[in-house]
Formats: sequence, C-alpha cells, structure tokens
Amino acid sequence: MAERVLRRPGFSRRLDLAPWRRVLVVVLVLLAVAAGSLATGKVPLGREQLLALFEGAHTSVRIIVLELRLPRLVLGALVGGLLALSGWLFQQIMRNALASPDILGVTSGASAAAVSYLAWLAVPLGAWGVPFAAMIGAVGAAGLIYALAWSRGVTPIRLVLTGIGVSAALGAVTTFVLAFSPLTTTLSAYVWLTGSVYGANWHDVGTLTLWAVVLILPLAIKMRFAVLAALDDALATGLGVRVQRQRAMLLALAAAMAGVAIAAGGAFAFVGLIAPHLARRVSRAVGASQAVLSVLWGALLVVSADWIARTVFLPLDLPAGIFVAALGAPFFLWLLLREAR
Amino acid sequence: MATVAAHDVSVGYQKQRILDQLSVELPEGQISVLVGSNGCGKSTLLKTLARLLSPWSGQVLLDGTAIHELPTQAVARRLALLPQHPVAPEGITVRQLVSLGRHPHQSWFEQWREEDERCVEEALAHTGLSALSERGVDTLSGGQRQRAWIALTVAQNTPLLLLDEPTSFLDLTHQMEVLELLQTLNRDQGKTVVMVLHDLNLAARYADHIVAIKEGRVHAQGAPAEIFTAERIHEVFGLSCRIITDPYFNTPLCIPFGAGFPA
Repeated sequence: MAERVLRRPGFSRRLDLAPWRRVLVVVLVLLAVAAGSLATGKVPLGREQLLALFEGAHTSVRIIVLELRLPRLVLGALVGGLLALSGWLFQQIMRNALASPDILGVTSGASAAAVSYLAWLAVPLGAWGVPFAAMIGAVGAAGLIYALAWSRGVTPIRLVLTGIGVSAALGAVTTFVLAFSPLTTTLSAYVWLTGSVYGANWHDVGTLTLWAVVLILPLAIKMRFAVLAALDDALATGLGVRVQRQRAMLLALAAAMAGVAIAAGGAFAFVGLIAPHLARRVSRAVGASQAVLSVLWGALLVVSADWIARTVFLPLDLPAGIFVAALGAPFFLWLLLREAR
Repeated sequence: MATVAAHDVSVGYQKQRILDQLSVELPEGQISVLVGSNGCGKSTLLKTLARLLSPWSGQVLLDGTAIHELPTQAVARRLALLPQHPVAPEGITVRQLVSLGRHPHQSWFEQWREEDERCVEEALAHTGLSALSERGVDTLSGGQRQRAWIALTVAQNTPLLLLDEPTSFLDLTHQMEVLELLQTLNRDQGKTVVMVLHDLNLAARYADHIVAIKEGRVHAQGAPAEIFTAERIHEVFGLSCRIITDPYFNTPLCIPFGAGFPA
C-alpha cells in the first residue's frame, strides 16, 4: 500500500499516496487543455509564439495570451473548482449523490437576485452590482432553506426536500421577472443564467482568488468533519462531533463557495453535481482526496467547455455554460453505462 | 472506572413520552442487555445513555458526571456507540473505516500518532479483520461488515461500548460471531458492554446483567437466571412461555407458546 506516515513532535499525519497519483493525472490533463486553449482562438498561435512569451515576446501576442485568454482560463478554472467543491460539500453533508448548489436552490437564489437586479437596478446603478446581488441571493437562499428545514436541528433529507422546494419557487421568480423585462435585459440575463467567463480580466481573477482562499482555508481546517459528515448523525456524535454545529458551518461554506463562483461566472449548472461524481467514479477517490479531485474535475469541465465555446463556432463566442452540460452529460452517461456492464 | 447510569430520566419524541422517570445503573465491566417488547423504550434508553437524545428531565451520569455537561469529544473518549444500521461512505476500505474511530483522540495537528496506528491495528486483529483490511466495506458479507463497525468502536478505545441491536438482520451464525466478539472484548479488555438485543435466548447466554424495560420504566433487572422466569416474561412481553435450563450452557432457555397452546 502506498502510504507514508509523517511524525514530528506535536504533528502527525498519514499520507495515502495512491490518490495523489490520480490527482497528478487530472492536473496533467488540465494543463494540456489549458495549453491548447491558450494557443487557439480567433488568432491561432504556434508553440514557438507561446514559448517566446517567456522571453518577452511580441506585444500583440502578449495581450492576446496574457490579458485575454489567460485570465479567462484562470477564472473558468476557479469558477469550476469552487462550484465543484461546493457540490462535493453539499453531497457530503446531505449524504445524497443528487445534492448540488443548482438542485438545492442556492443557484436559483443567486439567479433570482441577479435577474431582478438586471431588470430593475442595472439601469440606475450599473451592471457592476450583479455579482453582489448574486452572492446575496445565494447566501440568502441557503439561509432560508436552513431556517425552513429547521426542526430541533436539521436532518439531511429535510434540507434536500426544502432546497428543492425553495429552488422551484425561486425559479418561478426568475421566469416571472424575465417575462416582464425588456428584450435587452432578457438577453443579458440569459447569458448570465447560462454561465460565461467572457471578458474576464485579472481584477476578476484576483477577487475570486481572494474569496477562494478565504473559503477554502476554513474547509481545510474542518476537513475531518466534512469526511465524517458522510456517516450518520448518531455515529458522528458517538465519535465526538458536534453534528449540528459542524453541519451549519459546512453548509454556510458550501453556499458561499457557490455564491462567489456564480457571482463571478454566472449560473453555471451541472458542474457542482457532476464533478464530485467524476472524482468518485473516474478517479475512485475517497475522503479528503475526493475534495481535491472534485475541484480539479470542476476546473477541467469549465475550462474545456469554455475552450469549445470560444473556438468551435468562430467568429461566435458562446457562453461556456452551454458546453458544460453538452460535454459533461454524455461523458457522465457513458460512465454510468460502462459501470452497468 | 467507567460507569453509565440514568437518573430519573424522562424523554420522548415530540409530545410522546417514552421513558418515564427511569433510573438504572449499568454494572461496570459486565455485559448488560436491555430487553423488552417493541416500543417499550429500550432503544430510546440506549440513545439517551449515549447522549443522542437530551432528557426532558433527570440526567445521564457518565462516571458520576452529567453527560450533557461534558464536552462531546471527552465523552467520545470514554463511551463508544454503534447505532443500528450504520451506513459506510461509498468506496471506503475497512482500514479507513476503522481509522475513523480514532477521531476523538485526534486534533488538527495530531492525526496519526503511533498510538492511533497501534489501536487501529489491534482493533483489526481483535475483530479478525487484518486480512480484509484493504477490502472495500461494501464488498464484505453482513457479518464481516458488522465486525468492521465494531472494530471502529474498538479503535475508539473506550472503556464503555453501547450497541443498538448489533445482531439485527444477521443470520444465526453471524449473530453468534458478533456476540462472541463482544464477549471476548468484555473478558479480555474489561470493556463494559451495554446493548439492545431481541433474541432472549442469546441474551440469556451472553449477558451478565439483564435490564427488562416495560412502558418506559425498568421492570426488573438482575442476572439472566433471576430475570428470565415464565411470570416475568409474561409481564414484560405479554408472552406465555416455559423456561427450561439450556442443557449445554446452563442458562435459561425460553420456549414460547403461541395462542393455541395452554401455558
């Protein structure tokens, strides 16, 4: 068994090396896709031109790669990774393989708030407020779901059912607002609802990176609880976990992760649901390495989707959200079919 | 020292009272079995003793201190609990599952001390799972899986072990396997074992102490030979039976009568 034990005075860890090889594989695929994505687009670039960047190359190539394609790629990876981590956490806490921010109403909350903002506030205030509206909507919806599911503590099944209910209600709000909006609002809202990293810049990347650090750090500290959350409540309590407190904290983290990702990239559906499954089924990960692999799969999904969205239908530059499902769903179904054999 | 006791405990769900000012002290170093008919409150009592339920009134005492005033992690170092039908995370191996039992002894910094490793290896060895330790829990048979869960509580290294129907849904061979394992843990390691069992004859054979619960109160308690009499069983279960002595083990053996037979 590939296992290494690390022991120093006051610090000890068991490191299972097997999953980290799988992590490496996905990282390599991600890097390959990233390289391909940086080289293609309206202006195709050769390997020499890309490598020349390291020696201070021609300025137009520099702008295309470093100011247009790279920030967009990094933002896509961050959005995908955060949505995937959020989905993984939801699936752990709910002990339900169908849980994800889009099914549980967090995405619907963000969408309803963002679309309302686009319809009523974008003209007087400007579009800069959309991410804030999305975040408030996401966290607000999560809070509402938690409060409605409360009955001397919350149980996973009540959370799931309440989430589906709230999601449906907020979906109706979004449709209602769109129906009463002018066509221009509807169009920009539609792109936003699909999810897109078009026009990303380093400022966006910096903001989302900061959020990612702020949200992932507490999760890294609480990772043991996230792993134990998959056990039943009685067993976790027996092992000395304050189940309700940890659950509330992990839920808040999961909702906030989805919130910041959606605020930056729009309401990408499907990533949060499918990336943890890919981590489990393709990479056969268990425990904490499942979280890491979910992040990588999420990043890979969005980065690949955006690559297709921006290059295959040139000169059109489509929202990446379309291709997350177009790419992810058949792959996922193929995987299930293969398992069934 | 490791004793657990309920003192005047009343508890229930929503508005329905299940335990009614129940007091009981489980003898240290022995195997105690809670028996009673369905809905009498024996599982509720076990859950209350394990602090899964908070009593409406009265208290549970762990080594003389109110359990709800103790930090839950400190409780978990003294009292391990195996609930009914626990579910293992998908894809987890036996060793990984058993390692989870070390949680109450770990902190963020210390997660795999030599002691953790030793306790996990010993737990695997005691439960006869060393050879299966790299297998996925979902590939095990029912009896092996239940042993893996017990191994988790053994790795927790607590003087007290509470189990809620550890033999349910197992065939007779595997029921015996589990009970023999618990008996070994009790005899070799001095663990105090408290469990709910449905099979009276197995309870009579493996228990040192029987607590018969009826309508949320302790109806009778004592050694199996004292508790398992035809009258008592009729009082507790409403079942007519004859008690004979098991010719091999000298423990009481209950022969139940159906409605068609005169008692």
